[in-house]
Amino acid sequence: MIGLMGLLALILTLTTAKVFEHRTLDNHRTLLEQLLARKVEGIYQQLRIEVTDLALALQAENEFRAAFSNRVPTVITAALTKQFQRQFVSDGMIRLNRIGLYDRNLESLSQASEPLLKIEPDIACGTLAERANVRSGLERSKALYTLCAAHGRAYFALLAPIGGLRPIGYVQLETDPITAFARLESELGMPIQIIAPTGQPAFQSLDWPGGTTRDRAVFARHVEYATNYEPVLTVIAAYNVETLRQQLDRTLYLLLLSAAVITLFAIVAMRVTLTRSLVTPLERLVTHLQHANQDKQRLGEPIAVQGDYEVRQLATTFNVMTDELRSLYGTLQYMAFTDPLTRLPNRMQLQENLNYLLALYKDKGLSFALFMIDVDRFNHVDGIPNDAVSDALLQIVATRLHEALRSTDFLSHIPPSHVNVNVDNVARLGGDEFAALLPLVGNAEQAMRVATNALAAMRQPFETHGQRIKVEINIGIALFPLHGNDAAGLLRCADIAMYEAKRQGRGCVVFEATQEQYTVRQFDLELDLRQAMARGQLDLHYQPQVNMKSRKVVGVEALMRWHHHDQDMIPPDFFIPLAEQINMIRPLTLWALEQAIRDCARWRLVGRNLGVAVNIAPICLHDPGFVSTTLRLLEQWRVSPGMLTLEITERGHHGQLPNALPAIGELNKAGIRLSVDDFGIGYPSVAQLKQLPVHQLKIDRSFVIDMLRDPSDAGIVRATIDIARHRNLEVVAEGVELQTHWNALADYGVDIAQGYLIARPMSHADLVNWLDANTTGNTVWIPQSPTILASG
Amino acid sequence: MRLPIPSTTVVRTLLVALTLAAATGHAEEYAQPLPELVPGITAITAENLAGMLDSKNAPTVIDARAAKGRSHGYIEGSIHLTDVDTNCASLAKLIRTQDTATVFYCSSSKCGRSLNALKIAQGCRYRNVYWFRGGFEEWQDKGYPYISANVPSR
Repeated sequence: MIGLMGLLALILTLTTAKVFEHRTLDNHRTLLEQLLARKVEGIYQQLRIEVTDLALALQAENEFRAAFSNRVPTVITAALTKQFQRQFVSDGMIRLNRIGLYDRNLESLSQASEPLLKIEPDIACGTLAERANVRSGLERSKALYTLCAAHGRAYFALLAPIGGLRPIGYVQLETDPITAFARLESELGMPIQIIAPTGQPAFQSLDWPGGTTRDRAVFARHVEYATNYEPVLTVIAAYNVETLRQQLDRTLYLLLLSAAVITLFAIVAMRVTLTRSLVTPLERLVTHLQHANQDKQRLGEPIAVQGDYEVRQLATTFNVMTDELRSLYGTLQYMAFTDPLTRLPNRMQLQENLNYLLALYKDKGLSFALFMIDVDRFNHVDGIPNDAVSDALLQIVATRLHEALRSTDFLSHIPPSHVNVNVDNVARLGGDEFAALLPLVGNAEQAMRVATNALAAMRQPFETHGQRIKVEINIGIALFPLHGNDAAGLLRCADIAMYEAKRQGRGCVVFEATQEQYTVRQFDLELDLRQAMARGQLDLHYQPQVNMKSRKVVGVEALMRWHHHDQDMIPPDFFIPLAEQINMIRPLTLWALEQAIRDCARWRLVGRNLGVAVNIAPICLHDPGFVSTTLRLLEQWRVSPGMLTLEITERGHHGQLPNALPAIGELNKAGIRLSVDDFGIGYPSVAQLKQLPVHQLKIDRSFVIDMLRDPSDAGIVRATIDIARHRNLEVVAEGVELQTHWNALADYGVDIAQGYLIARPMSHADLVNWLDANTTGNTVWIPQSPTILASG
Repeated sequence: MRLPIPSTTVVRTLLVALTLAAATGHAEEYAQPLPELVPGITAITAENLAGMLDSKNAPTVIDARAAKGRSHGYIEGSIHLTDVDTNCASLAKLIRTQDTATVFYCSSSKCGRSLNALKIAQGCRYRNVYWFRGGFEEWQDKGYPYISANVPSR
């Protein structure tokens, strides 16, 4: 760009200089021509005067006069020729070529020419005489003169009267004008060239420029014409313009230099201005952007620039934008690290904090604790759960938990080095899981204290949406560096400890290595259980229940079995609690229910009218659709509701029963029978029994097995039977394994017996076979002294 | 021949200029040509003079130039009398009567000698005086014959 401008300036300067030079030289030429013309005219007049003088002088000569009066041409010619010998005819400006003589009527008398010239004697410029002759009066006494060209030569001719005012004749003198005009050389002080009528140079100065030197000269021309306007002579003067040219060149160089300097200056000035108004502020903006790019914290720093209006606008917009970006970035950060529902930090943030704390505490001999907290919220005191309530509950649970864990008042001694650590320590990991980092807790004892405190705080019911809800939390505790020194390890240990707490129902547990194997197995089984149903690994086995008096098989109890591919059948004692933990209990229950009802229908088809008893976790009864589903299944399989007995136990499900009451009522109304399982162990109060519309009580097997050994157990059995009697309830004894059990239970008046003594739980097909083999009609024939049919 | 009659205002202005010029002293040539018309003085051209010379009563022609000027050539029959030498006595020698026609000339229209001499003649009561304003230069330029005092071997 700059180069282009420079080139342009250069071209402009050169062109201007050339034009200037041309005009200057032209000017010179014009002036010179004017000068030349004047000088030529001057010499011409001088020539005229001299020739006139000569003509007059000749007239005065005696010889001339004599010749004139003598009219013999030859004599006249001889006399005329003799004149040429006179010195004065060829001196100075005059080079006399011819003389002509005329009478008063301008009739030619004679003429003569310069002998040495070898030209015709005839007068060359004859027109003069013609012109002279047409005059009259005093006019005829005037002299006439002209330039003319003849035979390629130039002549100056003058016709002068002889004899004054009353001429008696005329004389015409013709001379070579070039001789006269050659004087121009010295008059002008320049070399000249005179061109003859032939076109060739008739005279040329010695220093006439030729060849290359012609460039250094300016040529001025002047043409002299004859009276008939034909050109006779051309005079050219050469003016040496070398010095002029040099001056012009110098001027040109000076101009170029000035132009260059000015251009340079202009460029520098422009550059400076541009830099200040454009380049510098732009650079600043760019730098600022780069900084912001490298370090996101610097987004939103405002920048102020000076410069053009547009640049300032750019800066303003830039500031607005970066501000928005920063707030956006902040929001993103927040969202990435925050749980939306509870506003607590999320798993990612916890990881960060954990890593931070690890880095901080490493090699310093300091310890901290990591809590994994699980929230069980199924103990609704009253009301029915729904999503809005659950979310609200979780929020306030989180808040209280947060508060409970934050307060460190109860930590009486805190090592001063810990005090400045500030980590927001409760995070929600998802679902019902929370975690807490306690940087000030240094050992297990402190950790347990904090955890216990938290548990206590959480025991108070929560109120939301007009409902009061109790939650149960389990805390797993891992310590750094005791249980691990990396984030993943600590999290895992805390997790295992938490599962252990859940399993044992203990509330808070500190990690121990022994817990690990259990939980590992448990984790694996979790996965398998989820797929067990899909894989068809689940099965229902049936254990016959026999009326002790009539020895009839009155029904069967359905028991779930899991045929795990790796292992043998896993008993429900194990996988049912697991199912409850992983929220699989409802589908399992429904599945079992459907299976049982279907099998019941199948037995009826082969002529066996057997009732079926299915174990139901009270949680299932919380489901609003459970009752309707059950009834639908019964209808679908055409099984009478009375054939179905639901066995409910409260063992391990504290406080769930009351909420199940509505459902129980409906089931009862539909004709389905209810049995209270594990009676004596799980059921908290007899008073609540009053509210339950049950039909049957089942004595826990532990009592049955120990009643022969332990009199208090025997007492419980008896008491149970009494209660049942009073309420008109059926009594079922589980775990009848020995004949002695049978006998004793029969004595007490137990209605129904179930146990290995009679039969083990069998698959549907096996049951049918067993019935066929061991019963007639529905009656089981057990020998009076039955052998133990199956090994306990 | 009709002679021009000058207007009063023009003449008056020119008279002032002329007086000033005269006051600065004699000069062979003036910076500018002399006025064509001078009140009380009759100016003639070369043609006029030729006619006069051709007539029966040729006037007396007085060449008022310095010797140098005259050496360039003179009108045939003219008498050399410089204006410096012009006075009533010298004039009386040359001019026959007070009424004799007398023409004064010098070198050109720029030369003031002839005018000077003419005025002197008027002062000497010569009544028939003429001023050949153009001078020898006009005579020569128009090609009228003259006597060349020098031989052309310069």
